[in-house]
Amino acid sequence: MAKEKKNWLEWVVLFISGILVVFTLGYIVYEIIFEEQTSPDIVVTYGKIEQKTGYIALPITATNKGAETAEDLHIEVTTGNGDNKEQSNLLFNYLPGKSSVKGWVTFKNNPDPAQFEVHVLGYSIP
Amino acid sequence: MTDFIIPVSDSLKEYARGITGGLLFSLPMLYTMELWWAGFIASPLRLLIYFFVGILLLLAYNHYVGIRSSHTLLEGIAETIEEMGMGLLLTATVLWLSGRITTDMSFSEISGKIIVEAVTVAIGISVGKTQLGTSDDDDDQEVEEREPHIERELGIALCGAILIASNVAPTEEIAVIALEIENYKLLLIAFVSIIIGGIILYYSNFKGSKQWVRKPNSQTDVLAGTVIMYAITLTSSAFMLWFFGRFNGLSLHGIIAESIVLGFPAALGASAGRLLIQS
Repeated sequence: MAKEKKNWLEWVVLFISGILVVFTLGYIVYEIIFEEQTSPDIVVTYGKIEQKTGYIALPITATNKGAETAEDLHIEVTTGNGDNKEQSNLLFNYLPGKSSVKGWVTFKNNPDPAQFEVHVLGYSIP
Repeated sequence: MTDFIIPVSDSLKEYARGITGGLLFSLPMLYTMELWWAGFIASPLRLLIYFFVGILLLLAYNHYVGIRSSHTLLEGIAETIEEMGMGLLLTATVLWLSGRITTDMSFSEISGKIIVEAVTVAIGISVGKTQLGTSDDDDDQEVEEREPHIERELGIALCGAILIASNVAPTEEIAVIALEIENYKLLLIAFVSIIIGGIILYYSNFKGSKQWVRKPNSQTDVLAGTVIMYAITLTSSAFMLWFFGRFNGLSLHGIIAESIVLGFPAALGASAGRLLIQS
């Protein structure tokens, strides 16, 4: 009975596939052993305000320093105090562990750039 | 024994069929939001188990059905690695094209997304390579003794169930149906799944059923075969639901209800799917 032998193309595909499979398995095993499954830890930073059409917008970056995913992440940004106080908030559907998401919060009046207060209202664990 | 090297053009055609099969069976999955989420929600341990089960299924499929008629265990393993590698690459390409993988994502998010989808894509590739070709390659397959036996039936049925049902397993719809359904309808769904599966395997003269289903000697054999089919169905749908985190915090009733709801497509996979991917 004739025995089929692989040609160079099949060896190349097998070689690349082998690397991919071993790397994937290795990476998951590495994650299991060395990456602690920590709960979400959300850090919010903001950039410079921008004047848009009829409102003022502030860019927000939320970073999850934990390993678990945060779902329905609510963020609130407050500016000013007393009568000038203005609040704005933002919802992200998902923020996976060790990742970040970007968004904008908006204000009606011209806020004081030095007076933003960011507050992570809450999130759930999927 | 003479050795001959497979022509490169034949390999290329085989890969083309594999990619077609992979896309055909899993493009709906690659376009489903819950699947992308599952990639970063699933813990690394779950991903490892899922990936490992995927490799085992591919090994079983390649061993019993695989494209190479005269293969050794080593060749089966090589074939499996090749298909899994192509699955990972194809998944990454489609997810990148559709903008689901971007450079500002963490590596663990990207790898999770790819692994979750790659298992089904790889099974699709394997099926495409073997089943989507023209029949003139089948000559030596026919000669070979491939008697249906229980391990083979179990392995291929599991592949069929996962291939068909993993497209809908992680979706919200399964949970919604399972939570809203009345108990008698749940029972009816289970009943319909069993009947359809039994008809496909033993009654409707379905393609491949003569060859790949053990000939029943009595009514008891038909019943036993159908029960085994449904047991595979429920096991595979429970496994998929567990993997996609659908059982988290759910009551026993909810777990059983979701398994039965997903069991409908899975039963088709374990009966019709099973016959189609090896005919």
